[in-house]
Amino acid sequence: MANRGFKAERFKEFLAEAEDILNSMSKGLMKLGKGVKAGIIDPAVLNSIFRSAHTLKGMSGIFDFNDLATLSHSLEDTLDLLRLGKASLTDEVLDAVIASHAMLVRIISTKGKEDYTAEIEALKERLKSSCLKKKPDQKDKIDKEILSVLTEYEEHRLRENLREGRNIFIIKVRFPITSFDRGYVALTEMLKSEAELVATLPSTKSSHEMLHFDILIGSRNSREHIAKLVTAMAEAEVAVLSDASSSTRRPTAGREPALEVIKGHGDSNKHSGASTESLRRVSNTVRVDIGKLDYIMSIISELGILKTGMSSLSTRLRNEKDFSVYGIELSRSSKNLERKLNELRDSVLDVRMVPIGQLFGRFETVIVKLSREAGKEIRMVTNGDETELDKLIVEELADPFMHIIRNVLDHAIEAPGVREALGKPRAGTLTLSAHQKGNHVVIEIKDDGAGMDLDFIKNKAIERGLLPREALERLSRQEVLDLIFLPGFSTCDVVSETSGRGVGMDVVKENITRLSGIIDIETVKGKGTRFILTIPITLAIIQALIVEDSSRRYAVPLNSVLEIIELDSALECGAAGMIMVNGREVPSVSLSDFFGTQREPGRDGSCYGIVAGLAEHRLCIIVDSLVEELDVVIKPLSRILKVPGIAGATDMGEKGTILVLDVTGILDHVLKERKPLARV
Amino acid sequence: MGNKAAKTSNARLSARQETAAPTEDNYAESLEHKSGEEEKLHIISFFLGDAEYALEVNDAVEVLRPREVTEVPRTPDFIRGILSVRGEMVPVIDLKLRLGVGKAGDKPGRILIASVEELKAGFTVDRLAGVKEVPASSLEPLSGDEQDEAAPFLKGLIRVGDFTIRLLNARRLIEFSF
Repeated sequence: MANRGFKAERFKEFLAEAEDILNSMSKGLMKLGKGVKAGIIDPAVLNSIFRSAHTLKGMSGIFDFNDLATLSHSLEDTLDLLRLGKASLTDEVLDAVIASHAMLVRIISTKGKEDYTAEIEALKERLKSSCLKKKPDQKDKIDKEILSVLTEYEEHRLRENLREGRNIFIIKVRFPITSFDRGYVALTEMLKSEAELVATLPSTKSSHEMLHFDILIGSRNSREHIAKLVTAMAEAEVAVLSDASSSTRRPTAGREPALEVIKGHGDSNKHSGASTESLRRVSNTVRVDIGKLDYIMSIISELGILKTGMSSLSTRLRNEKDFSVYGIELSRSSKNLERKLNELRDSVLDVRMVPIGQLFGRFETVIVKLSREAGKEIRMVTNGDETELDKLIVEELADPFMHIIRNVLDHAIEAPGVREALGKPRAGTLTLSAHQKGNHVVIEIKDDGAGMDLDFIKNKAIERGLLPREALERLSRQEVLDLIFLPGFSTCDVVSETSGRGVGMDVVKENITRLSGIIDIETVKGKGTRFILTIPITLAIIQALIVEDSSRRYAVPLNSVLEIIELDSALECGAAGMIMVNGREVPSVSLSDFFGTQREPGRDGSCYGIVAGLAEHRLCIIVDSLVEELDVVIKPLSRILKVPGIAGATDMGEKGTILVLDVTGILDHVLKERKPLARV
Repeated sequence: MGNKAAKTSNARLSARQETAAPTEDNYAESLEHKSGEEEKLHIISFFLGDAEYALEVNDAVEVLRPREVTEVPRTPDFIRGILSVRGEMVPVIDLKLRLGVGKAGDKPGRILIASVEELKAGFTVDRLAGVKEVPASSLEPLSGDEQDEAAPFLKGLIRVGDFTIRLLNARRLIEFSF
């Protein structure tokens, strides 16, 4: 049993790692795709994709994950041919590679529970047939003896460098044994910007004090230039192996460096550069299950509650004549405690934050694939990739994002021909951008496509029987746009592979609302559409206002509150209708009416209004009294218990459990009830 | 998942059958059945009023003393509210009301937490009887025409001697209550 638990744990780690690998692979594929279009293929990118496939193959073998292993194996083979120049990188191959990557993602996301055998076989076939081997031209310009110490890949790169007319140099460099790793890394980093590193070959000259390397590079720069740079960093000489300016000159075996390289190094050089590898990982990062961070958050929130108890005790002590000194001391301690707790909270929050670029990046390959399928040209632009958001929220955003983007690709961006006729650039632009705004992150998905047609939306709403024609006339522009979020609206006429999966924009809205987020649409017909998502940075711990109503306590997340007003007349408090807030008439509802809880009889005096906003809508929720402000950790009620208006609950330790209000949910609910869109 | 409730020692093992010493006959028989001599059913039993009910020990997670439950508005009557069990919110169901076997007492004797595929729920019971081991053969399926209010939530009846214990279906109780 324990063993199984261990294995399951390992398996989880494996899945997480595989996801990471596929992620970086997808970034690489995106770059590669761009390169293929531009006619420049960066060998480093191709290589890193190959390595990803290779690692994945190895890992899946350990876990007997056969689907994953066979497909990543085929993929590795294909990529190997490509990087060795034995097959040319055509669109067809690229498509097959991208499709295989997508399949790998699917296998991982279903945790191997689905059977994809048929698809995998088809992909393997596709990979194989798409890369017809081309015969490498074997006109040897390079000395056989050098070739004998190079791996196949290194040889290929050497030839490519020669073909592209670069100079080939051998840098003979020495580092003190105590600091060779740092020196080597610094040198190769520098060289990468000046040249392509073809191979690093350890030299036999190495002694106890000094390690010697021969670094084979291809560069457009002159020997003098390289020599100057290199000698500034280490003891070294640069020898010319092949000079592009006199391409007739063949590198001869007579040259020192070449000979040295060969001596006694036969096959052991398979993994050249291995001398710099160490079992120590380069990164100092720790992978942590987010559940553990949630647990720490709960403890922090409980500490906060204990602290509140302490400070109220200190106030009481201060008022006791005999103990006021202790009271003051206690209050000082509790203030210090509070500061430290806030620091602790902020640093744990910081750990949970990831740049939203992680999410944006995932769509790069998806967009390449989908736009190919849809026969459209789409350019993706991202802004504000570094904007940080809670990891959990980023994950929750993936599905709604996917859905919106699919819709944009299918319906918003026009076919290249149509766009040209309209005087737009052939390729549509999809812009994903993010920026922080207080405790929220505002994310925009913008396209320069067709925009939304309000009449089309209206007609479709009537067609689907969502509301009668008369009701439509009274709707504002924004309200018409909101219709697309109604369940049953966006089931597509044409079920396409991309957007026609039976989930509509209503699910997008539901997902965003669950994150206490808001989604808005701005659209200009013919110009494009913007989806604007306003999402709290974190839900792990939130500032909440504890309120009381009908003798029950609730926590109100402050991030969804616009303002809090005091209402003093009993009339206002009892009113369920409209209320004046800053000269504006705002719909209001008392919390006890909304929940149908018993109101205390005979209560009068002041009460409070919590004003919440959703897009341009406002609602004033009336409660009896305000209690205190606290940081709370929201826990979902339970997967099976869903109550409108309640976002979850929070454990207040000694003070019991209290419900956390879903303010935007209440607003949404009340507005729908008040202005029934007569759903049939 | 450890069953903390399972460690309850049991003085009144009225339900336990005497195990016969192995003879050649029953040894051979047990080999035929492979799984051992006689299959046992482990249950945790409790009372609602005068009637004895039980859950399978595998479904039960722990037993709590009654605590204050936070009421949740806009939920059916039989949902008493939620309870935080070591940070996790667990809905608490008034078992008597749910089964339709009477009116709920204000103060439940114990709250029994059950879990089915990581879905947890608490059930209020009047009195805990304890963990018992009964022969699997003592479980009789429902005939279908019982006049039992709780029938939709029963797995069967356990008859041991003169006693009848109603074995509840935890999955159905949890999945059909929300």
